[in-house]
Amino acid sequence: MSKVGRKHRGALPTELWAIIASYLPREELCRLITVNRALYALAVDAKYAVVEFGDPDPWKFVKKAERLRDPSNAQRTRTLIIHPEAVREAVEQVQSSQRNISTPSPTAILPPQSKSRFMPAFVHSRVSRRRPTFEVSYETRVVDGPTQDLPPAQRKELYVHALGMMFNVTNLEIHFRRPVPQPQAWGDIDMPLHGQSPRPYPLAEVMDMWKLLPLWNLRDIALSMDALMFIKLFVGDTLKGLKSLRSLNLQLHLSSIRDRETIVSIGYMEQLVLVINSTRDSLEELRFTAWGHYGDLSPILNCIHLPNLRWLSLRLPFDSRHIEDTTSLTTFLGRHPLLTHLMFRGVVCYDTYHPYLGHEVHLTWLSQCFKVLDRDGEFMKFPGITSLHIGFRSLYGWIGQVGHNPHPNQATLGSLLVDVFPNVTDITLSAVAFRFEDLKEILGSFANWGLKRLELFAEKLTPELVLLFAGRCPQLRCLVLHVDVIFSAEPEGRMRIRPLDTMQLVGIQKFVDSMKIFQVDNQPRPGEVTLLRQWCLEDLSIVYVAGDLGRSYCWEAMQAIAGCIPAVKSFAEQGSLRVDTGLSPEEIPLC
Amino acid sequence: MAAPATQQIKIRCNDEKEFTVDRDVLERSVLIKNMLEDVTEQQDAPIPLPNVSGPVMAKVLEYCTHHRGEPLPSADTEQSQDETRKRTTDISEWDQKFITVDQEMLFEIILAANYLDIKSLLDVGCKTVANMIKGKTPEEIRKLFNIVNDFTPEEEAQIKKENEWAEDR
Repeated sequence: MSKVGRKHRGALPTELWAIIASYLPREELCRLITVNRALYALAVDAKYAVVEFGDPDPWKFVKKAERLRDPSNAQRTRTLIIHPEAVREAVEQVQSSQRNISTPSPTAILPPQSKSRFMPAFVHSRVSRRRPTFEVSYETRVVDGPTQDLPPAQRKELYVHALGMMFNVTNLEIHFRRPVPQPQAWGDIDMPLHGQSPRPYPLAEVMDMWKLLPLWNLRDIALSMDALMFIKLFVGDTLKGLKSLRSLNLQLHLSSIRDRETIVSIGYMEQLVLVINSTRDSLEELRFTAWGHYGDLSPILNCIHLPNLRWLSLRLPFDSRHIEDTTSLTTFLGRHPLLTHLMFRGVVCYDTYHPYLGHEVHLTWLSQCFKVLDRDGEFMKFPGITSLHIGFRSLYGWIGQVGHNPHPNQATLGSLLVDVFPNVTDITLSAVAFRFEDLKEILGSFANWGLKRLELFAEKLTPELVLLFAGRCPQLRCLVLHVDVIFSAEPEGRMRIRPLDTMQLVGIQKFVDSMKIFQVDNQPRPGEVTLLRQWCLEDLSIVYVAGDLGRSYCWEAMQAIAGCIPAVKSFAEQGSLRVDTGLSPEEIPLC
Repeated sequence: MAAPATQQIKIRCNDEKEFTVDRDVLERSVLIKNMLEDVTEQQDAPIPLPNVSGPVMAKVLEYCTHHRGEPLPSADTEQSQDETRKRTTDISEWDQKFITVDQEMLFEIILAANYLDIKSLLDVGCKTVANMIKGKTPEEIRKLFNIVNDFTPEEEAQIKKENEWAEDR
């Protein structure tokens, strides 16, 4: 084993330097490159492992593309992230600067190779061995030397050329549209798209790059794009690039398609089925997010069969109009016995639809979906599902009357889920704006599950409720309680965070002792107090802490919180935020 | 069946130094935990640890004793830690004080943590080295860790030229 460093017994092997390098930011890694040969190899690997074309600066763009024309660099890349908007911006910037340049430097461009293949011969032969029928069928030029003065068209060639060298890429992200963040601590809220719709991306500019899709040995794809582009791109050979996929994350924006008839007429549904079924031999994880009005999903669910599927995430404006055939979801689950993880979350799309609708997984709809009788006249059950993630939000609560006019099915939600998914051990539930009584009922039902982990978004949580729940769940190992905030939609469509005046972080000694992990959401690390301030938590006036959290990192979290909340600073100064663990539930103030 | 928490285990280091330690403290080491699980009968013979010296083991045991009872990282938490560790080299206050040792001892602790498979200690050690590297020039890094520059001047110049972009991915 090669070693780096001083020649005493403690010199570290290269594998440990690799771990050290993983903690270093990129600029530090680049400094390691010139230290010695062993660190050079390690740092270059780390540097090229993830490549992102996302900087519109033309100089950086060109330098990066140039470096990646070297196969020894390009073949180190495993994850490729492309923001076509930024690439176009870089090319356009060059175009505008070119107006002042009469001609490119004569040394910059070698004579064009007429009718040459896009790929150098050795790359092409390698590709041919893997997929003999594939050919890139357009002409290009070979460029060399300094390329700052290249005209835009050749810059784009250079870029496509660099992409073509990355034949070890297994993870690909392309963001034609602003990517949607995965659900974070603040519950089932997705950021609005209002005012952020980019210009439509010209299809012709994408096609060169898209032809490379079958060249990569892709295992994971994440795409964010308009539905119309989605329809036009996945044809012919590009579908071959999906055959070995393990994970497909599709984020489709349908904001340009307003009516249901158009969706049907352009073949959007058929395209979805075609693309997803192209992955059927290997796909284990499917994440599908649809923004905007898109019509009935039932036929798609009925046509998809992915025998290896283990993870399904649907982020849709769930209600009866979008899955009209309520049996389609249950039959889909029935056809996929390996499925263990299931996620339903509502989405909202401010620029296309009613601003509030879509935040909830419609409870009536969900009840209809899962109250499906099997051949024996029993309700269908899905014992294979062990992990469930459901984002609920009461429509009425969202509009402003928190807790008023609750949905009539709220209280029975818990028993419904327990009945249908009897073996769930891990649940994430967003129940924001649920009535306290309903939440109590739901958690009471959950106590009948063998839950090992519960993550809950709900502002109605009280220490009493958690005490009741946890006391009935002896197998609970991980409890994540989200401090609630209410998001208010302002007229211009931007989000504003309005915190409640009470934050409740609850842990009771008797189950903290039995927990392997106790986690309080949004636990700030020392460096993240600034972030807390941005979240306006300084407005909080009361923090209830029941139980001794001091032995875990929660203690640091509490100290950090205390440091930025005036009302509890005095507790921190006294050296403790702990409330006597002898408090009975009655003594703990309820909100 | 799980052994009682008070069970005492003997270990012997490569300098013949022996320690008698509570089993739950020693089980912070996945290596020793697996060894103990593989042994069905209670044995009095100390567990030999040929790759760790007594002084280093004493430090490792200090760490394990302080963190006894804390959950060992599962596969899931390891994965999430892998995602987050790229952006943080924060070390808790106690761990910082603990790892404030001379460089030779620091490297020995890292090697011992790697051998004994104590991931949290390995992370603390590696983060500490990463923090030492931050902000330093290549020459300072060489000097700090006594690394010989095995590039020729021409190679070094070429590498510098080739690796100018570091601003983003």
